[in-house]
Amino acid sequence: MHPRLYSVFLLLIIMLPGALRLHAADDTLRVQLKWRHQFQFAGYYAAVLKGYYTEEKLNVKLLEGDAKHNPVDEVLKGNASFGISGSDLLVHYAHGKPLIALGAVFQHSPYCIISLSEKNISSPTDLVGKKIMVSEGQGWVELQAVFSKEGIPLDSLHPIPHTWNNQDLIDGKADALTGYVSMEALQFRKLRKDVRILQSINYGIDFYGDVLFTDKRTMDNSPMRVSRFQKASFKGWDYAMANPEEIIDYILTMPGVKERGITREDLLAEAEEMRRLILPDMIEIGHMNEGRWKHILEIYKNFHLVPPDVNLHNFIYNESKSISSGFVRMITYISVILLLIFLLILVYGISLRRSVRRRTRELEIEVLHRTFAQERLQLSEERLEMATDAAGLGIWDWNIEANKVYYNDMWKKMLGYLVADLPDKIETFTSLLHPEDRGMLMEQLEEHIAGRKESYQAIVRMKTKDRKWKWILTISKASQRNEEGKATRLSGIHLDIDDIKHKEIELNELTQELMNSNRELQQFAYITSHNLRAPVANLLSLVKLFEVKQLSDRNQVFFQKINTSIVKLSDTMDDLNEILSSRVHKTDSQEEVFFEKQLQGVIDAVSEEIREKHVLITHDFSKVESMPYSRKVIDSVLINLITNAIKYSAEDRQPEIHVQTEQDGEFVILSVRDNGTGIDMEKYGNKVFGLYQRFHHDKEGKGLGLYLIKNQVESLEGKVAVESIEGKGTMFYVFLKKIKLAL
Amino acid sequence: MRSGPWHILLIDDDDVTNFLSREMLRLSVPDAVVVAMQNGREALDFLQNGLRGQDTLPDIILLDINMPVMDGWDFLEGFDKLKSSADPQILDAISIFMFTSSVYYEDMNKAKSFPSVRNIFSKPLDENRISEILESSSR
Repeated sequence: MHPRLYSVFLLLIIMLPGALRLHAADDTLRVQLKWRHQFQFAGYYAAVLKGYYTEEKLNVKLLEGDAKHNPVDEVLKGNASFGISGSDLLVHYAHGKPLIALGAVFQHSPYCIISLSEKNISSPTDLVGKKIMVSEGQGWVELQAVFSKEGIPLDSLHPIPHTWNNQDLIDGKADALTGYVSMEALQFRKLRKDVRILQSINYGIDFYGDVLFTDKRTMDNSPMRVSRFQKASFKGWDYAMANPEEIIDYILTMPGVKERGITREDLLAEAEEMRRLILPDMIEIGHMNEGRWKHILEIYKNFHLVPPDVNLHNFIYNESKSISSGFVRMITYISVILLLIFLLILVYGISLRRSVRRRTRELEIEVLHRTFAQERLQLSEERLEMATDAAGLGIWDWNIEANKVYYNDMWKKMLGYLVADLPDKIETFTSLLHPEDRGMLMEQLEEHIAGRKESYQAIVRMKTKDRKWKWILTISKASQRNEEGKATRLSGIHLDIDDIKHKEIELNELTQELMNSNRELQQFAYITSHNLRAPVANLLSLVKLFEVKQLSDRNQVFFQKINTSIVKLSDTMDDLNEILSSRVHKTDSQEEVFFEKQLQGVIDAVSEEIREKHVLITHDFSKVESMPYSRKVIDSVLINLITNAIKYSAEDRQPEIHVQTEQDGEFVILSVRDNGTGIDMEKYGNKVFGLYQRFHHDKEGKGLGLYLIKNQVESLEGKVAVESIEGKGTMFYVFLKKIKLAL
Repeated sequence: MRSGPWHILLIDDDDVTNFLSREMLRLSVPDAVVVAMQNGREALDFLQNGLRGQDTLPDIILLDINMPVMDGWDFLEGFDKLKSSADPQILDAISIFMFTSSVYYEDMNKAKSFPSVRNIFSKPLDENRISEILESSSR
């Protein structure tokens, strides 16, 4: 029934002549609320706030409720004219109390039984023998019906008096307590306590929730005021449910609200929960169905909570009956009202049907949406599973606060375990770790959890089902951190890299072996060349001391051949030694080498040749004055290039040599330019740095120097290059790779 | 300042080398007194005797590097120790030349770190080398 229709209805009645018996709105109407100020009574506050009571010339005072003030008692004692109660109002009525239900605000009962999730109470049966905090005036009657309906004898329950202190449930003083689904249940949620809620509606007990009521005395005294109060109150409710935020603002200003720590969010949540019970969009606020009350009464009778002969006569507020006085008027108006009621029921029926249809349609669409979303979710889950399966990815997720761990199947399968073999806890991971890897990983993990490391990655050995070790790459990232930056949830992957790791180990061993044999070979070369050279040197001297003249002519020829061979052998040994001794390694000692100082050393060494040929040597080391490098190599580069340049200087002009350095990214270029005879690059270009290459027949030398430089520089990851024009000069570029000095 | 013939000490484990060095020296410096020792240990003993006046101290030492019992480097360390324990001026007059089969860069640098070493060169000994040695040895 729409408020509009209802208003018309009321208006019609009010306007009927003689039906009105105006009473001066002199005395205050007191309304006993069921509990403390909260959104549960929003409609009444709205009626006060928006002046609906004033419009009806009513002076209303809302009395805050608590455990000591039972609204039914307060109204019966005359302390209040109106009260708010649950469906148990009917029980009191049935026991002869002159009470009249004016309208149901909550179409469904908010009463519920709350227990902590950890108690695992998921059905009424689970409550047998458990301590339940209950209050007769606060829903216990109704909730008992649930137990009876479930076939649970009421004497198997263990009810204890309600303390209205939620902490008692947390402390275990009770296993469950009764409360409002829109209040206590939300309070626990606010405390971040996981609770289970049993609602009577789920067990076929569908009672009205908050019911506005009065007593017969109030009704008899002034039926019009009751009517106006009822009308204004439900108008207030319409407004409150349409504008909850405005009313919440008002509630927050009421005495005791903030003091109880109630916040805007709490009230919003309460309003949301209440919407489900009030159903303001489907059912007119205040609507009561006699049939439903009868059903409720039947239930009470079944459980012997009320006498068997009670009926609903006088319990449900009937405006016309109260207002009309006198038989004639009654006949007249009853017929009019019956007609109206008929019409209204018709209209209401249509509107209800329509809203039911609309709701059904909405639900169908919702179901369709959900099915679609579910299918999509399933599809993407399947894809993810296929992908992780194909990649062999183990996935884990550790909620540190709750200490709950999830491992996907692959995580366990990669170690050869069945899914059921390993429990889902963090100790599963740590116990499977190789003892040698555990310390390192735990350290990393700690750093990571503390937030000093954004993520971590480690290669560890884990025990397989057949008691072998398998190499696993574990990568983790904190997916949640608290305000202090501490990780509250970690997730990551595991990848089986056993094959790769074994290959790496094999490769490392092979490399080590190769390096060893290389070193041995080099050692061998050193020793042989050194040891061979000693007798060769002796031979050289012996030949020199030999009295050749005493030999016969024929033997002198032989001796000459021996001499030539020895000289050749000695030369070759010298070269071999030079090559071996010029070998450098990256691991050789490096120091800060100053180019100018090195060049001066070389100039001193070859000063005689420089003087002889009047060589002019200039340099420019302003771009790079020094660099960390092998002094031996720079020495060798300078001495070889400078002696080369002097050796191949042109006869017709003064030899000029220019040495300079410059930066080139990861290199320092050391260049030596001369104005000598130059090299025919087309002919020799690619041979310049080869062993035993000479380009000038008239010059002595074996072409060893450039070969040495190239070898040395390349073994330090550098390179050499040459540019030359025959008859003009040559320019050598030596690219010295920058070395990071070890700290 | 000393007078008289050159006293030269050869330290080498190779008899042929010692024989040849002796011959070469005989050709260039006929009156030279040449003594040969097989290793560093023997040479140090010889020098100690010289300090006690039992043997004549050499003017020149030709020192091989690789030798059994005590190699050239250890001899140099022992020689330095000897110098610090005796009247330094006597041993300062001795010129040491490293005389090895093949000269490596590392050896060259190491040799420079011993102040007693005048030079390092490779075998064999020839006339030019000998005159070079005599020239650079103070007398």
